[in-house]
Amino acid sequence: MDHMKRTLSFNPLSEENTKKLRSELLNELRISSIENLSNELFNEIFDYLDGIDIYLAFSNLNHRFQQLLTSSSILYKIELIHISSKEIFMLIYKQIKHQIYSINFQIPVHINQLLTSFIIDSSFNHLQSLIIEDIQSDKLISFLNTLKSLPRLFSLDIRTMHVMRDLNNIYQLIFALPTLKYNKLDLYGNECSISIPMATTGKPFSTIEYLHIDHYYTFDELSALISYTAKLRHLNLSYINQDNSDIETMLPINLENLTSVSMYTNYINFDEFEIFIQNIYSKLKTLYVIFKYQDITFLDAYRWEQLILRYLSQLKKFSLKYYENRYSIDSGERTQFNSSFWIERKLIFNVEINEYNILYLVCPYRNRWYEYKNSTVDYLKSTQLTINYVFSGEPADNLFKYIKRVLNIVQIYHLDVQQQISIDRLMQIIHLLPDLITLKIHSLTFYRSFFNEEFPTTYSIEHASKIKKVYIEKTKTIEEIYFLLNICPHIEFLNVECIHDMTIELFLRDILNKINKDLRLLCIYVSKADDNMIKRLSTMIDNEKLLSNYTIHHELDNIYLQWI
Amino acid sequence: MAGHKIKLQSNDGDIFDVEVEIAKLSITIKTMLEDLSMNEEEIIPLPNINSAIFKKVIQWTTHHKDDPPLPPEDDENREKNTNDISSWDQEFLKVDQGTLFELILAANYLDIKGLLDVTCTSVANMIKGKTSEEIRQTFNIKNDFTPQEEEQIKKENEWCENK
Repeated sequence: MDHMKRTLSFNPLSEENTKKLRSELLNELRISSIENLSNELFNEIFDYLDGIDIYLAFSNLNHRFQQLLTSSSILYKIELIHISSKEIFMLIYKQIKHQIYSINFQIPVHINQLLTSFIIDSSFNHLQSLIIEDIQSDKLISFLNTLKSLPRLFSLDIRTMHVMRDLNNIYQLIFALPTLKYNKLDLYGNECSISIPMATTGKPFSTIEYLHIDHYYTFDELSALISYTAKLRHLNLSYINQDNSDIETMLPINLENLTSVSMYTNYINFDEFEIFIQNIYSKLKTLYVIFKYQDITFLDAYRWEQLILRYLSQLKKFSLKYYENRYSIDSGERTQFNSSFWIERKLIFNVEINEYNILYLVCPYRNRWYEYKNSTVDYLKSTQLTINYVFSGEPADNLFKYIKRVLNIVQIYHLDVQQQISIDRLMQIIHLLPDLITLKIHSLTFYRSFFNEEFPTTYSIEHASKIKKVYIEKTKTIEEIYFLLNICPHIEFLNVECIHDMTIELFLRDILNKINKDLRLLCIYVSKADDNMIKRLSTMIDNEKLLSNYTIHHELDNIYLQWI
Repeated sequence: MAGHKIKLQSNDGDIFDVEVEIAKLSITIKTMLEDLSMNEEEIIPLPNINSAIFKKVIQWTTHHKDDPPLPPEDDENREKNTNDISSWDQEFLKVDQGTLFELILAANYLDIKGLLDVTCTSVANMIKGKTSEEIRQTFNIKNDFTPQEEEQIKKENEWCENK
């Protein structure tokens, strides 16, 4: 305060002096040390750190941090993922057990040994979440018994490779946990079985609201399990079940609160799936399903429409994934997922080609790269083919078969190639796709794997000339962009990345000198785009008269240049 | 096209014209404008933030104005990860410790979750894997234990001396 007194003894303060003085005073109050942060802010920071790291880092520093480490507002997430972290945990857990929020026991920490030397009891009164890996069956039973005393255990995630044959005791103990909301049981192999009877009224129900079954089950067993979870809201079935023999005898269950089902399965056909949906009759708002290789009628849009209208009237979110391998029987019919029923719900049909299969998806429409500002979406022409594997440097007969197969089912308007692709392979693909409007590729290579006099074919040139919008994610040379401008002469929107060893000015000038008459919008990704860069580019365009009547701005690191 | 602007005043008297859409990334300012019916002509005082820090906050919010909304807190499987800092944010956060801590306080006061997340992540990265002695040096933390207390702590914590 001395300098303030001194100032006051001189002339009356001008406004500028007052401001200066206020700044000096405020500077004195500036937070310059981490110690000045509140416990609540330390909690925000500690949320990103393992509890053992926190304890090791802040022990024995001074009174402030000693108090912080044992403050009830600080909660620790413990990750026992190294042998050394287990050893430290054994030394410190007694001091912090009231503040432990979660424990994650992972391989290579031997949980079977650890559990003999450390007891979880009610003094872990903030413990909400446990993840346990690699536990043996007998140890799991005794471990689950100890969890009953925890007053706030909301989440339990068990994953083990050890064979568990009889799951009766395990599930009964899990269902008896008094505060559990989330349970996942992830087991290996097909040996397990559950023979618990259906729950009857009068018996206590589990508090579980989110049940994730990631182990072998039959539908009878599933019925029995979920009969104990009257509060169930989310059911996730993620194990590939190979036994559907009992689905027709599965007993119906009315789960009032069940609003979300995720299911990943194979060896189940549409008839059987319909029975399953009828049996878990509920007010489902979300249904995510993945089927593998079984029944092509899963692509029957009308049948899905009827199922949804009849049994799932409250459905808000839906996604269907159907994997087909190359041996599927061709139904010979085009899919109707572009009818008004699907368009009203903004659910669209897309296709992905992988190395060994085709994935058909029906999923909510998401904005795409080629939608700029208020451009309208044509849902009727929204089907996109994503190619995840281009068979680079090897024969691509399977790829071409897959594309032909896809074209039997649906028309493709948008192509997204997720790998680097050679120009000849790209043109071979375009040759097969007559209706393309947009093209997105990861990157191009000029390497040619074959020399065909007919390259590129008349069809490929004709099909490419219809493409209006092109996006290349990674560019190494300007020639790649010239190639795309050349094969797509009617391109209207080009989205590219600035080449690393070129300045943005040079890059933009080179492109603008090559543009065709239809190009109207350019998006260039450049690291650290800012307002100064926009001013420089604008000056360059004006001075060199590269364009007239244009707008230029940046959104994050993307520069948008549009002209009439 | 530039949007409507509002006037915000830092605690050292500087007044900033900020686009409403950018200012509203701060839930605190958004609430003032919407719930407290403050009109866009009034100067909104921000008594907890100086102009140097507020300039940084505006820089961050301007860059992130088009970011998609953050997932809700209870989103399933949302793990907080210290690797989640974009290259722009890494560059932005190349500041002295005092500025970083003040940005945390400003983000907390203004309720800008994205900025709070990224600044806390940055401090968490400075802490990760360090011993207490390294933390003492990194953050210049003074030891205020008496010699007796220190002796006692040493005895109690012999276990971590070799870790």
